[in-house]
Amino acid sequence: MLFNSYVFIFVFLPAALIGYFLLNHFKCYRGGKFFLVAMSLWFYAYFHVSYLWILLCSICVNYICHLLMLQRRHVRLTATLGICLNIGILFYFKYFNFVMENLDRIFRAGFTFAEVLLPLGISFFTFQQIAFLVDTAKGTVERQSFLDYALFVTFFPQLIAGPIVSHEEMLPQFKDPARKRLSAENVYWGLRIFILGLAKKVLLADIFGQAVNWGFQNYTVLDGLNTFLTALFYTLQLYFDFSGYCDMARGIGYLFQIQLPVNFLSPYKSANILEFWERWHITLTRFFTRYVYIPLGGSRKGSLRTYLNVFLVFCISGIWHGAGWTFLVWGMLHGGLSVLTRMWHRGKQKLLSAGSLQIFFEKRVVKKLLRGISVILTFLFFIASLVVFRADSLTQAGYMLKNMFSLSGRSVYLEFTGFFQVPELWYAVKLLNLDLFPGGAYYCMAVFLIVSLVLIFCCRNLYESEKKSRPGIFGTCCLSVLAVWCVVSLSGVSTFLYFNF
Amino acid sequence: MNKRYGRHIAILLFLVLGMLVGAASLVAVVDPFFLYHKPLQGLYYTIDNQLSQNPGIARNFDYDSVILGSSMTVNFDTALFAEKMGLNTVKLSYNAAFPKDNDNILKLVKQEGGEIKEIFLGIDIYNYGMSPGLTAYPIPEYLYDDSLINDVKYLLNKDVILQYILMPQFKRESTPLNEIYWFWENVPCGKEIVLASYQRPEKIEEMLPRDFYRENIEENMRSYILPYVESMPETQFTVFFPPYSILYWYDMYGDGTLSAELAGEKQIIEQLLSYPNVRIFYFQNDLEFITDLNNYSDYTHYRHEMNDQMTEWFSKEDCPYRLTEENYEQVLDEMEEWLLQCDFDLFLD
Repeated sequence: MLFNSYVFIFVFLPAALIGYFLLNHFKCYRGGKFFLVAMSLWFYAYFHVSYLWILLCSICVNYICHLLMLQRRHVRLTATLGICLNIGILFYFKYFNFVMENLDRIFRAGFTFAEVLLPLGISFFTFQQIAFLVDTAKGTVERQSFLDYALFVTFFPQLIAGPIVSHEEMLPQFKDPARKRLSAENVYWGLRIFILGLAKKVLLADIFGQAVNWGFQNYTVLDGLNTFLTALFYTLQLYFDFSGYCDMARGIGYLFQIQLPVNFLSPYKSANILEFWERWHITLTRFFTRYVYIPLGGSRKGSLRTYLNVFLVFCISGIWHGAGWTFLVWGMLHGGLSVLTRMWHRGKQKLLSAGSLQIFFEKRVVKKLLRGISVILTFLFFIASLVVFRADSLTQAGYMLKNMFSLSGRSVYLEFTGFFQVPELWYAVKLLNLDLFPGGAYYCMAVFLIVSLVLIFCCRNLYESEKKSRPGIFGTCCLSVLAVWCVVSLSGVSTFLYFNF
Repeated sequence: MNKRYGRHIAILLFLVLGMLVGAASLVAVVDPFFLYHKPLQGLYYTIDNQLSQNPGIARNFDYDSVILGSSMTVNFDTALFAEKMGLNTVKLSYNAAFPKDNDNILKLVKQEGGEIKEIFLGIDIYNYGMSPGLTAYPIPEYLYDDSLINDVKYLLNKDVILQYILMPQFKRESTPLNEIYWFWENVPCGKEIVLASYQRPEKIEEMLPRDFYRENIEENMRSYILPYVESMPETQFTVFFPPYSILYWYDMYGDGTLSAELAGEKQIIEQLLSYPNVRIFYFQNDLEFITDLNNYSDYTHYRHEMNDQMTEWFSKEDCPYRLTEENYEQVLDEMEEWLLQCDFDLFLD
């Protein structure tokens, strides 16, 4: 079930809220948790009911490992087995096809193997449980009831796409009696954040998505300018998609009186790639730092080893995002730039120790200017790297990147403009006769681009403005209009533009 | 503090629910896809969306005859059907229709269409040779099934409200029922236009076996067409093969599918001729027409006058293009022989 669907908004969410708080109201706390787990499993099964058993088996096996380790015997062995099992499941469902295809290509063995379908959210709930096992092995987790553990893993706002929550931030909240009662303030903020997230997804990301699909499908006929636009649109789509999803998840969390960790913090405002990864998919970065980077030695074993560790983590992060060479190369690009940035930061310290230079760079104007340039450069790097991320193959990625940097093309293809001519905007353009002006067809696209860039670069993000103001009547009215606008935009009317028999 | 938030939650929910109920009521009352009722007097309706509006037309319009098929059938003028044959006809065509598309809409016609005197079915052999179960475009299932719950996708739909309710009222313009789905007014015909969009086959492939499409055609007919022919014995099925231009046949010749397609047509005709409630018209051998590219807008789509001419022929008992048990083999054999000997390049000059 998707957050942006009628069934979720009109059936699932109200039912889950009413059921959960009714049970809590009658002090049936275990019943409330059980109900929430059951609803979360329904939420998961709605995508593909046959994958429910994978989730359930994974929860049971990990819980058994948790219990075994708490007996403080064979802790390392149990932890190792548990982690291997999690990684094994993840490998089978996510990477088996990829590995077999490549082995087949290398050895020309003509393997035939059944295609393994990827269960939704497996990367997230696997990582969450690996972290739980590691922390149990370290002795930082107390014994948890099966119900609490199941709720920690399945809690539906975070189940399929994160954030990757940790036990110390979730389990105490599930047990806190104060959170069993509805707080009007949390419900208001929950609704507000959910609606704004929904708007990002439905009114922005999905519109950019159509143009992106067209661009990537027709990349061979695009010139440099239009290839760049395709990549830019994808960058914006991904931003609003991910940011919208994170907001919706946080909003739903609030409705249940649960505070989910921040996962997305205006990443495109970052001045370098290191800052970027502290703002983009924050809980994934946290997982990799705690459970991969630090165990590898982190920064404790000299600068060379640090760089190697950073690079390795990004390679793993790349392949975590998807089973394909494009993802690995994407991770390597980010890893490479992260290493270079770290080197630059070290070198910069030495360089700046020369007094006059330091004074120059300390000036406010210079600082601001440099930050602006850095933000733009980081953004451009991310745009380019996303071409590799989204392309079907490295060949396609190479072709598109070469095309982008060829600087060819002077005009935007009209095909692109059609995707942005949403009725509400296009009718306004037509009513005002703006379409008769030069470039009239491009106005809708320009509006989308400008609004998006302003939202991304000039506005405070939702987390920063969360609970910082009191609700006003005008804001509430606007919010309700936005909610209705989103709901009536969930479904469109299929049309086709050409005829042929 | 909590009271203040509570008040704002109440206002928010009240406004959202109020607006949603208002929007859904507006759609249900105007009903631009005719899911619940016929068009209302005094309102304007745009009918231009086959996928979304055909099911409503099939369910709620008054009619005793229907036109089915691909874009080859959309330029028919249903007023002529009334004038020539006294039939109250609705057009339920789908661009690029596959047999399954016809099945989807025939189900509704049979279920809710009342007494049907005649069904005009244009057959495009190419699509009948494809895998069974394909549809030309994904259909909005919620408009085709009986579930009321999924109607929410229709009732709360921005495109429906803006494009199909507000815009027609603003323009004060309805689509005349006899003209629905017409595209000929916007698509000019002429040899130059046809040749500009045509690419002759780069090479001539070896001819495929004649039974290449046999199994698919068998399954498509058995699953999607014959059940209606058999279960609606009082309904006359007028099946016709539309006249593609010579360039279509050049393409098939180049692909090596020409003989297999003609064999497929013969297979369908043989099956259908055994039913007393079926009559068949074969317009593809109107050689004078199909070799004059001025009659076309591209390699298959003919000028709308041909649709009018076909209507005229449907109304006549002594039509030269009518196939019978006696003549069908000769007609098809002659067509194949002529095509196989044809110098297609002559028509490209």
